[in-house]
Amino acid sequence: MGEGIVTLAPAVISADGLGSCVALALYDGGRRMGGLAHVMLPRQGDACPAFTRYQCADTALAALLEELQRMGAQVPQVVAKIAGGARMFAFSGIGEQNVASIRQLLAETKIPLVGADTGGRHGRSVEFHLESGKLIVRELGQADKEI
Amino acid sequence: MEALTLSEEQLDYLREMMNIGTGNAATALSRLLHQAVDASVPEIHICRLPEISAVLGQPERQVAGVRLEMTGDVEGYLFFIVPDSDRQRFTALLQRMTGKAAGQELPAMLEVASIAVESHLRAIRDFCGLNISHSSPGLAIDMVQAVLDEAIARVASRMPQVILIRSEFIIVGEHISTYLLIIPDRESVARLVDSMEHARKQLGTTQA
Repeated sequence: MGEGIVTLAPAVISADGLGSCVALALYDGGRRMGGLAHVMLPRQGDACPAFTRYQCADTALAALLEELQRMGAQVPQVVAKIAGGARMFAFSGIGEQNVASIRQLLAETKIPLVGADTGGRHGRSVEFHLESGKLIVRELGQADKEI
Repeated sequence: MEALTLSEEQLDYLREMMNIGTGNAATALSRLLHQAVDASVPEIHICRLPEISAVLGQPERQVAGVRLEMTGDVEGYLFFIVPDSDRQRFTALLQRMTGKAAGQELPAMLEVASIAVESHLRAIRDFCGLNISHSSPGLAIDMVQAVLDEAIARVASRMPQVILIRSEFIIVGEHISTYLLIIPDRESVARLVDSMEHARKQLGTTQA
């Protein structure tokens, strides 16, 4: 939780047990490099400064882009996929806020969102395959989804 | 004030308090089941919230998780968590003993969670004089980390620690493990620790 990794194919990056958290995956298909952040909160300021920069949607997106650029990714080639942001209990709503914040940030940064599996009332785990750019989404008792 | 650091004596006191809480829960469960219920001495862990999944097992471990908001003298979150294998054995017992039909498992789970939570809160009140109320419970059966992550996201910045009580109930030879998580927010931690320390010292005085 609250962590992020940027790396190259053929790596597979996973994030397990996402409830209201959102896995934000960025991918540069031409260079087959990408990154995944396990986002917990919609905005910085919602968390204390000791937390990692991958914890909040805004700082996580900035950190992923910075690391990708450092590795030679071309930002105009980068696309995004997201999964998570569930409402696990009736009286909660951080999941929706996380998803809305990420969607808005991606739009502002002009990064196309090419796949999303969000909301609902169930947890998810994801595997991000940098060879193909596929994001595999797993739920308990369900067949895997590919986005 | 932010860190929940307890002395060995305070930890012993917390253990004793939660032991009484688990005992209260066993008594209440035996009333519900019309059956003797034993409880072993609970294990107490104090850990950082982000490490809680490591104590509870893999992040993807399937559990029944009941979440309540804690209000009153101590504020924060409470979770009652039963690993799925234990839940299935437990609901089978419930059905057999109370004649509840299948399909009533979820309400039964909520009832058991309320019993466990109230039993431990009562022990805290009796020992420390702290009155803690809770919201109505919500239930999710899912991956343990998915059940917890919103509460972790909401309070981790304010209160990175959690008191975890692992209890084991023994009902007609079946051992059922349950976990109660008490996640006080930062403002409440000092009150909890101070009240415990005050009560502990008073106890010492009375005994002397």
